[in-house]
Formats: sequence, C-alpha cells, structure tokens
Amino acid sequence: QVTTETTTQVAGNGPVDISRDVYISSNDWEANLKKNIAVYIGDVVVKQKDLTLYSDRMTVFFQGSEAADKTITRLDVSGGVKLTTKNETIESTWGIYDVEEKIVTLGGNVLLKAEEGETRSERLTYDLDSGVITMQGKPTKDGRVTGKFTLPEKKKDPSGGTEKQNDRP
Amino acid sequence: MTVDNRYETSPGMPDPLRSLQPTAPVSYRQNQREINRIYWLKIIVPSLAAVALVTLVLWPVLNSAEGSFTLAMDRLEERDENAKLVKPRYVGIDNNNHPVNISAETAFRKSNDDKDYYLKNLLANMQMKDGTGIEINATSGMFDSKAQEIVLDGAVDIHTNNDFSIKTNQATFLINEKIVTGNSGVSGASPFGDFSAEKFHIDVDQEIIRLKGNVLHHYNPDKFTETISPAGSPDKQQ
Repeated sequence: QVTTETTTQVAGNGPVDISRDVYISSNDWEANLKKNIAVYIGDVVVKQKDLTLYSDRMTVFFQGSEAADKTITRLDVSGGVKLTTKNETIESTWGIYDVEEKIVTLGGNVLLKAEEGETRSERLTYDLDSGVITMQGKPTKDGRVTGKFTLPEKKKDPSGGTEKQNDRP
Repeated sequence: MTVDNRYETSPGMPDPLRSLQPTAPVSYRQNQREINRIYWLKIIVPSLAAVALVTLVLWPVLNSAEGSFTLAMDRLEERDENAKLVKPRYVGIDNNNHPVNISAETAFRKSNDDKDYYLKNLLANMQMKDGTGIEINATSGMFDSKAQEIVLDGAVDIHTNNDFSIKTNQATFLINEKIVTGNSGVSGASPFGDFSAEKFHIDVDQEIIRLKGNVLHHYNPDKFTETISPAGSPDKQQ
C-alpha cells in the first residue's frame, strides 16, 4: 500500500543536551496561574542549555494544581519560529515542544539547515532524546521533502592526479 | 591759774584730737616695706579687676555649649500644625469581609480635612478571597482610606503565603480588588520561577500576572522540588 506522504528520517547528531532550567525572555508576558497558562509576546527566546527556540509568540501550558508542583508540559510557538541546537538550525511557521516527551514538532515551510546541506518539508519532528529528525512532506508536487546537499571536496593528490575516494592506501 | 580741762580726754570717749597726737616713729625698713606693699597693690588690684571684668563678659560665650542653641530658620523641619501619629494602626475589612491591617512607624496628614495618611515604614496584612495571606512592606506610603488604595514607595516587598513574591520601588495597591500595579521595574518569584520586567499589573486574587517590557523569566522546576523537605512543607530557599 503506497502511503500518500513522503517521510524522510534524518539521523541527527545524538541527543540534544537540555536541562530543566529554562530561561525565557520576551517583550510582554501574561500568566493566569489558576488556569495554568502563560503567554509570552514579542521577541520570545527560550534557552534550555543546547536548545534555543525563537518565535514571535509562545503559549506555555502547565500542570499541577498546587503552587508547589506546577511544571511546564508544553510550549506552543508561532510566528518566525527558529530552533537551533549545536548542529542544526530549523526554521518554520509554527511549533509545538512537548517538554515531557522531549519531542519538538515544527510545521509550515520547514527548512532544516545542517552542515551537510538544507532540507525542506511541510512538517518536522525532532526527538531530542535520540536526536532523530523525521521530516514529512505532502504528495503534492511542491509539498514533497526536498534536500540540497553539498558533497565533500575531493582531496587533491600531491602527484597531480585526483585521488579517488576508495583508493586509499 | 585755771586749768582748762576741756582738752583732757576722758577714757573711752572718741577723742578727735587723739588722731592728731604724734605717732610713734617708723623705721626706714618698715616704711620701705609699706611702700613696696602699696606698689604691688597698685598693680595687683587693677589686674584682678580687669580679669573679673573680662570673665564677666566672656562667661556667657564660653558657657554657650550647655544650655544655649543657635536657631536657624531654614533648618527647622517644616511640619504642618497637625499631630503626627506614632505607631498608628488601621484595622478595616475589605469587600470579601476579610480583615485589613495596616500599621506604620509614624503617620501624618497634610491638613486636617485631608483623608490621605502619609505613612513611614508601613506593614499591611490582608487576605485573598480564598484566605491566602498577603503581606506588604514598604519604606513609605500614602493610604487613601476612602478609595481603599495604598501608594507604596521606597523598598516595596509584597509576598503571599502561596510562595509568590514581588519586589519593586514604587507600586499602587488596590485593597478591595487586590491588584498591584507599577511601572518602575519589578522582580519577583513564583512557583513558576523568578521573573523581572519593567512594568507590571498583578491581580493577586485571580493570580493573573501581566508584565511588560524586557520580561525575563527563569524557570527551574528542580529548584522547587528539591527544596521541599521530607515533611512536605516547602522551606523557602530561593
């Protein structure tokens, strides 16, 4: 059975080091502690050790009734979303960060920039624990996952010939 | 010959003539001593008189430190003619029938018919709807008893019993609504972590916080869980 979506898995560079210490900065902030919700508006930056998430607006959902046990469960970001880790920079229109599962889902014109090249798709899922990135496209002509990779430079043989990759001594 | 006894001096009677009688002769040395004594007396007595005169003149000036003081009009503390309350205490109730206690070191009013009290080192205690306690400390403040509003200045510290606290240096606290606002910077701590911003509007009762301008928020769930002691009551180590 042919799936109507194209899925590409990109092996990441290992788990992303994130701590539970979260630093958030923004222009404005509004929180309703009783409803366990908070909204950050304007130049929102979330820093969690090796992971940084930029966006125009972010909604934070908490859990826990008592003041002492409130924890962040999910972050919804939208508008100019950019996620950077040590090895990748991913841009998109919206994003959801499931803090407990440590999974980031980004969508809308996703652009993954890594050392090897760029990959575009409609939607991306990043498992921060395993470091695996899954990109999903749409079956339409310009919805598919596309990538542009740069091949590593061929090393020049000091004797003048070009050394083939597999002719190593 | 008749003897004229008018000149005989009867004993005990003053004798005007006695003083005229020739005195015993005085030796030269006694005379010289007398002269010297008179010479020295001529020097000493006027000197003593001068010293006494100078002392008389200078005594009030030398002795001014004890009893006298210099009155400088511009250094007088300008105070109205009204009384200043010492250790005043205001007790009232808010719209939810919870007690409102405001005490201070001193308080005064600018004029008799003024309803605003200017407080120094004030402490206010009140409660939210659900009974959670709120405590407000400030270096100075103005309490408007009619509007039930306190304008706080100086080091302002507001904290609640559910681990919510803010520090600022200027704020307005609406007693009935339990709303505190300010726009000269705020820093605070809540179960969600520590935060800071330029302006704030906090509905303490509804637990709705609005921060504006340069909002920074540091959230560390571990810090909070670690500080909960085995007995389950969070001990406040920020």
